[in-house]
Amino acid sequence: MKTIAFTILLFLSELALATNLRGRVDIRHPYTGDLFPASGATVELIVFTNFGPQLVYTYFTGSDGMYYMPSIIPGNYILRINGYLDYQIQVVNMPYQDLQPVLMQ
Amino acid sequence: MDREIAGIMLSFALYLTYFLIPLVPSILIYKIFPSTSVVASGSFSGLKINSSGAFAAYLITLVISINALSETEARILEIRNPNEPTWSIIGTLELRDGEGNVINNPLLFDLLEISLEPRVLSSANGDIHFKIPGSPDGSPPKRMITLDVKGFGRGKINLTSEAALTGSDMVVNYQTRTIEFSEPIEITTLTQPGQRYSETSYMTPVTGAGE
Repeated sequence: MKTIAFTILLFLSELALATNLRGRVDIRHPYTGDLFPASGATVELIVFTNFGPQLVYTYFTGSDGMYYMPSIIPGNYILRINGYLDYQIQVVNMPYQDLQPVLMQ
Repeated sequence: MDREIAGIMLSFALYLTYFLIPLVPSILIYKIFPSTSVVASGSFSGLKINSSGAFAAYLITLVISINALSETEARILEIRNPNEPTWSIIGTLELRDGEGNVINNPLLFDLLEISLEPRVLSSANGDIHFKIPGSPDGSPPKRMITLDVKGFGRGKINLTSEAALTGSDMVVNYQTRTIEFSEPIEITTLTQPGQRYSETSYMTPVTGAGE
């Protein structure tokens, strides 16, 4: 019985090791300086392994500038916007994680 | 003989014609009027020319015939590649914000991507000028062209129907196979004015992380 309970707990803990990431990409109006959600931005999540950088997830933001990345394993990643803006992020072990917004230059 | 081989042979014949035909008047001048002086001087393709006699006659006829034969060369190219006559799309882009105000920021054009449905690779900057394959019958291509400024918005060029080609801002020239826009093609941001965000703290980008 103890073994079964331990196995179930182990299984549940493995399930918990995945985070749903959420964030937003903004762009600044060149004249007025107002901030807008950046639609159509490419958001890539990259992890560095022994074999070099590996692309984990790609998302194209909608009109609200939001991006969503489900079931991401906790760890250190690079968030790359439009292929040239890199941000170092840490994905923690929790069901949902909101990342700080990023501003496209 | 298939079209490709015929096209290559015609091209070869054309290039021979370029150089041999001008010989005829120069030989005639040399033989019939040996004392007539023909002089050609000036610059041609970056070279200073100063010649006289039969060679000058040859040179003059060569320059005249190059212009005359260029049209023939275009026709031969069509024979070689009949299924993909190209059309040039020429126009200027204009960026607008959600309230319709024109945005003059050339940096945003660096993010421009042009795509076709069905897809054909092409690229451009603020003043667009690119070629796309036309229809086999020589008519304009039946395509929807999407102009996408990443992170800003999208514009479309609709060539999918005859009605779309008769738009007042579009000049279709069947002779030169050009579709030129008299008015700027608008690229409107997908963001609505109400979607503005307040100032907040942003993540700081890192440099060299992807190296």
